[in-house]
Amino acid sequence: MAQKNVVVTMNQAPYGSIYYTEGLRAAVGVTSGVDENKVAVVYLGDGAYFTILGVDRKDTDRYIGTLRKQGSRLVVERESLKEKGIKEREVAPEFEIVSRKEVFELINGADFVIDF
Amino acid sequence: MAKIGFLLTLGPFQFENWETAYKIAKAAIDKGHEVKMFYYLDGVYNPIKYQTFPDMATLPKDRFAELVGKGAKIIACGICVNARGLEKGKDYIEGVVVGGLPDFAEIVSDVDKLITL
Amino acid sequence: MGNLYLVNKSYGENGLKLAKLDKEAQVVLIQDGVYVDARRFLGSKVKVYAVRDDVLKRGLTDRIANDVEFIDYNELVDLIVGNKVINFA
Repeated sequence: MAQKNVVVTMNQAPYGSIYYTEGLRAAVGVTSGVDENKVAVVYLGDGAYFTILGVDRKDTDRYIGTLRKQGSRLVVERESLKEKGIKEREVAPEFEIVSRKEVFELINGADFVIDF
Repeated sequence: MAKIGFLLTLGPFQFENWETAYKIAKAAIDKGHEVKMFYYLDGVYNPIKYQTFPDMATLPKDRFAELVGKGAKIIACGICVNARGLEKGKDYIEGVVVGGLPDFAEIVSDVDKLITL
Repeated sequence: MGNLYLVNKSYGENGLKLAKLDKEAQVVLIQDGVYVDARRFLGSKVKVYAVRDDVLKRGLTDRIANDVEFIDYNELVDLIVGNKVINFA
């Protein structure tokens, strides 16, 4: 048993499938064991749509709140935003905008990479 | 020998993921590795013992029962189980345990490799 | 131990874009991932594998790029054990 660094990637847009919220629930869940695993959440591709400011986050606010309180990073890939035509000023402030290279470094440094 | 964890989020019959998970897990166990699996979301439909489907020689639940028989540890997400009316997994094949995300966290801490399907 | 990108079609592109930045990437195409065009890695150091069963049952044997190596589940397990798995499946 050992503490793990986990990256959870979010690849689907809200709300057509449940992954946008169940992925966050799992991300929080990963940190809930005795080993206090570390987690970062990364929004890629269609997942970037979740970071748009106007998205209704009623059912995800508590997960995001928990993740932020424990210092977990929530990041969205700049290239994905660009591919989807989302302007950086349209992104909600809780999401950090990072380059694909930074996403790669985050993933490269993680023990496990889980996709939702 | 390695410990390999699996997170399975899709159900049987509709997608190929359960079959891929079974095939990788079986090959891993046959090579002497240890397998721990967590069913999440529709993944919790995989081990229902009343599955029937004449077109299929071996049903998903039988594949997972085979893994359990070979020593795989399988835990299903309780919130997902109850959300789908599966009543704490009372209709599950033997050996599949209903738990929660803290069990998944424990699998994450314990395993050397993690596959998500 | 390098990074092993496990790629299906639905999220695969997100993973393959990251694999492009990864000098030691190995990619395994599984399930509908075998429909992904692997020619983008031609001439690069990225090693691409495809699960043989998934290729055969889709009738794609002659359509997969030449330098893609077909593997069975035993070989896939060895790759999983020998590397870090980056899941995009």
